[in-house]
Amino acid sequence: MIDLQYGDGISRRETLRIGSLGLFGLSLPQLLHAADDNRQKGRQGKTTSCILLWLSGGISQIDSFDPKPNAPLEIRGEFKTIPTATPGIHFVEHLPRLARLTNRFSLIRSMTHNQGTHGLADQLVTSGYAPTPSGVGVRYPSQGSVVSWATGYRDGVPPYIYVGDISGPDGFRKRDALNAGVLGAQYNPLEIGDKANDIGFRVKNVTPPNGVDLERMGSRRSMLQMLDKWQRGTESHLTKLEEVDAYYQKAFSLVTSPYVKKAFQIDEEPAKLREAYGRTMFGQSCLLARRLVEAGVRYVTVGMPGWDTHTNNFSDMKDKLLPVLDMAYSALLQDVHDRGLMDSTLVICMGEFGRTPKINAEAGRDHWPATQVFALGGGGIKTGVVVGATNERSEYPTERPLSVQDFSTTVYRALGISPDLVYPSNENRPMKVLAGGEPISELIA
Amino acid sequence: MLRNCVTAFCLGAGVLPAQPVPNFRNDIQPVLTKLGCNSGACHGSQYGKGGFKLSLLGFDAEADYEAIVKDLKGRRVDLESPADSLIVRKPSLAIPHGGGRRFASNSATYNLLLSWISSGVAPPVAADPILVSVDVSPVSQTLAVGQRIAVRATARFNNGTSRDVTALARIEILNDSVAEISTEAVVTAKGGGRAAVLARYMGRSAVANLLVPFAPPAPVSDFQPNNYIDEIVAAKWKQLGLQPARLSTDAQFLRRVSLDLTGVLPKEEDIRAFVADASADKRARAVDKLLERPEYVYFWTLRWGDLLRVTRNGMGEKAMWNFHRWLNRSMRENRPIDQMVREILLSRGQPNSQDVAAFYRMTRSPEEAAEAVSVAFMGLRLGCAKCHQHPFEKWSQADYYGLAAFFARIDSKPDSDYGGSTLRIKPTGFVRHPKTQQVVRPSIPDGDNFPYEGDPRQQLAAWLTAKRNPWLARNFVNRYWGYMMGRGLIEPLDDIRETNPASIPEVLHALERDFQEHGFDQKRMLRAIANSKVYQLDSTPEARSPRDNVFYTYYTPKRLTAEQLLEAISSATNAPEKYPGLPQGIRPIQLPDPEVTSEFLDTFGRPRRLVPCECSRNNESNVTQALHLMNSDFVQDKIAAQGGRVASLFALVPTEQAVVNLYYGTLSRPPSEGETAAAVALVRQRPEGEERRKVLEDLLWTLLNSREFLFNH
Repeated sequence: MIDLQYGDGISRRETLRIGSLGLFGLSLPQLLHAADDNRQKGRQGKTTSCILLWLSGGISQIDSFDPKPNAPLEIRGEFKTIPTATPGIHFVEHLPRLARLTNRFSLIRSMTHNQGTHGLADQLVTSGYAPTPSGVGVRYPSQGSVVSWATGYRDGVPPYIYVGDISGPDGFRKRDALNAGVLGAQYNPLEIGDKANDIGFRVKNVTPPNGVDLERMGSRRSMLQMLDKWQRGTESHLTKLEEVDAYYQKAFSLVTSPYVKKAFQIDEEPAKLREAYGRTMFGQSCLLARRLVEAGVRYVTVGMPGWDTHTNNFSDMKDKLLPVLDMAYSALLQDVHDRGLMDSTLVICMGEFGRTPKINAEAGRDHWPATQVFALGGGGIKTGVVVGATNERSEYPTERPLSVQDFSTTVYRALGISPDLVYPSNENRPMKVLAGGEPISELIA
Repeated sequence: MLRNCVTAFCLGAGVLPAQPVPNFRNDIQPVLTKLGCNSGACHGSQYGKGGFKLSLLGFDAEADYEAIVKDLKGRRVDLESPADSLIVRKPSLAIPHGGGRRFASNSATYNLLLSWISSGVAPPVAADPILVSVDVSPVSQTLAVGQRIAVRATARFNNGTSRDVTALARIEILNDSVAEISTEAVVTAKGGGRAAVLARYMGRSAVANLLVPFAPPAPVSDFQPNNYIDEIVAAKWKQLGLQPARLSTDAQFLRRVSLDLTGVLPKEEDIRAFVADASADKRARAVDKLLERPEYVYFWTLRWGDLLRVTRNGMGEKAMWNFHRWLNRSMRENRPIDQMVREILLSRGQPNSQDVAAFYRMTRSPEEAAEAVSVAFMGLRLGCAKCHQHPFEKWSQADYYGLAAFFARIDSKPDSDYGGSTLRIKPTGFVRHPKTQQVVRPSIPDGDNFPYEGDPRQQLAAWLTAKRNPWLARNFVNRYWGYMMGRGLIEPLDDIRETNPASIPEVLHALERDFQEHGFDQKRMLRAIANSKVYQLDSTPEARSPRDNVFYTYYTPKRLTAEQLLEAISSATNAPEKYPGLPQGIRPIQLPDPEVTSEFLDTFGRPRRLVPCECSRNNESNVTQALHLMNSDFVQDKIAAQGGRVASLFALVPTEQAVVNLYYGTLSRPPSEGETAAAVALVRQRPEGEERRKVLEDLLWTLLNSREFLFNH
């Protein structure tokens, strides 16, 4: 008798209920967390999730959320500005939807740091630590990895997922913003690729391969349980072997978890909603992120490449980047609001640094970490607030200069993680989640 | 006047007199360090704290003096009213202090600081006695569980004086399951093992070794040493009251040593022949045969490629292939390692045709060259010293930049023809200390410095490859041991330092000496390790064996590396890899660099070869890997391949034989009777035909996903 176990023995009735989401007005979180336990280390009972829209390459602040209409042409650039729903606040003309939705997110216009190198800046901004400049240095864990460590797998649902592309020759560098570094590779995100917009989207390796159905998967699992006897039942308890066991358990529960399966079934979404997000890789990935959060994933990073506009900044921004962002981000905010998820979901939108005020000879902008804009809101972070300001030429902050540490402290607090939590590095050195930073009071709800 | 008389009276005792005027460098700084004021978590951090920045652990007395006395408009010290100085008010919590109360007012520390301020805040001067070294005693001791000893740290200065600094030094036990230390520096032994006692004081450190037997010392039963390695390790076991596991079975040994020396699984016919062979020296002969196989050359070329960061992403494709071929030749010829290192260090010319000049294409500055060279050839992480005194070791910024200086004259000029460049030595170029901007002369760690003349690398190469220089030998023998045994004598493999002592120093020294005295011969070293009985032990620990296996009482199972796993899966399924753009038949251990696309290899931790660190290769397991092995089309396609193993067995041989064949092809052993019976029963449950073939596929899947397959044991 093949015993295909669901992760925790969910009854058929509950499975039916999941299948009719929306019909009875029950959301996945309500189902899952009715019996929330206190297993999470240091989570202080909070179940806030985070969606990070990672604009890889570094979004130009002037050409998006902090335009400078009064600066000379060689700084303000080609784009006109439009008013937003917040009096006195303007965006560039290519973000009309976000301009109307400024009550749903806040802006930090005065983020500043001094790391202008890709990879290192990625690590800085997502971990809250300046990466050590030496080759054999310490790689600090990203926020997602820390959350993953504090949360663990529940009901077969991985705590930290990356939706986006990692392949290619500099895929390793993209990982700098995502990975767990010295916290340990087991806290790296589960990567599910960037094909959310494809017809018949399937997450790799979470479903059985070609020619193998779920029943056969079950037979295989039984066979493995029966035959994999080496070093079992002895007193040896070799850690590495136990770890592999644990990963196989997680993998099996992931594969058989109804929540995860449902979450990945993006084609269940009504076509109208899919179009509202935009039928682009990024748009559909944002929609997938919302589903993942509903299924219990605690931290989802959605990657969007292309923002490193050293050349053709204006044509790229206008044609390829801003419209996609505008549609996807605003649809996500609207969707999260409509589903009553705003209090439990923090949405962040940022890149690794800003871009130079002075336009270069290739009609582009280069790296400028001194000024940068972060957008964030929900999950205990206030919306509709604009913190800080930069000078007329967007060269440096004039009001409320804030550090990456301040930002990280604020985010961790919202997610219920104490920045003073200590974890052991993979060489058993005690490390603090964060070393400094003041919570940004204007944003704390 | 009176002061001088007191000084004269005390000096004869050879102990630093209790100076009426506290000395900033030698009295104040140590206290700030002991109290944690200048630690990385507080004012010693990158950004300081609360606007007050001190050098990390007080390595820069002059800068710290400025910060305390001159910065903040001199408000930290109040010469007229010393008790109002911030430097005493804050840490005694007379006013709020983020760091809390570090000492009470009227404590000795408080009075010391007050005394220093009242006497006019004397600055650090060149004439101060300068700390030269610290020692800790007793230097080595064997303790029984529960036994206590007092530990003492003594500071030695350049004027011949010394001072007991036990109260001010940071003394810790590096393995707290073995022993613990009280605030009064009394060590109590808690459990069996080796513990290093590390004393750190003002940038100097010293290590003492404690040994606590697991059981009363006893002769090791039933263990005949094969070579000198066994003799030394057995002596340590005896001292510690440890007993080793039994010997591995023949099949186990053959699989293990094939993987460790050649990266691939043994073939069924070789396993059968080996097990059936009755001769006493069969294991030694098997080792000899493996060392002569082509796979040995491929596999160690791969290991060296990781070490030297051979990749077209940085070197360029042509240069990468040159380097790869040079490594291949060197492994085939078993070239002495010191010669290889020399050639790499001194390389110049055109990387696209000069075999190893591309090493310097991976280092874009003298500093990067210093880091790469120190890690790869000395196992030394000098990188921490780039910005500050190395926190655990004596290397200073001066040492770091001194090593970098050897590479200051390297120049790479693009050639007129596309994509080429020439590495040459230019007549100018210096390294300057980033803070003082003084020119730093090329200097070897802990040794002489040299003028900037000709190719300064010559001096470095001469020093590094000198027969008696321990660094080169230590680095390589430790790595070989670590690759074979699963755990280096020093761990991590590239973190060799005084404050990170070897688990069994006697073995390390013996291996070093043998390596140095026999021409830095890689094959000889690997042969000695593989032939040792220590290497050949079973992989199941005894009931009372220490789990961390620091003393090698059993063979530590380790997960197959990415390339080993891909090789094993390909041979187990009889579905070889194909790499577009590369010659037919090229196998995973032959890949020249990580830019050859392979999602499998990336998933299982293949290093990118961009960072000079052993940690670049990630052999940790994770869920993504489990999913890949369980569910990927990649693996399933190999299992079900038309010309694959199952396809060639099914309906052509009896079921029992197929099962035996599958076990040999994966676990490198025959199935037990019970395993055969179970597998055959599962097959026979199904109707004949396709359904039974699927069960055989499922059996292969099961074997590929079992831990016995995934681990080298």
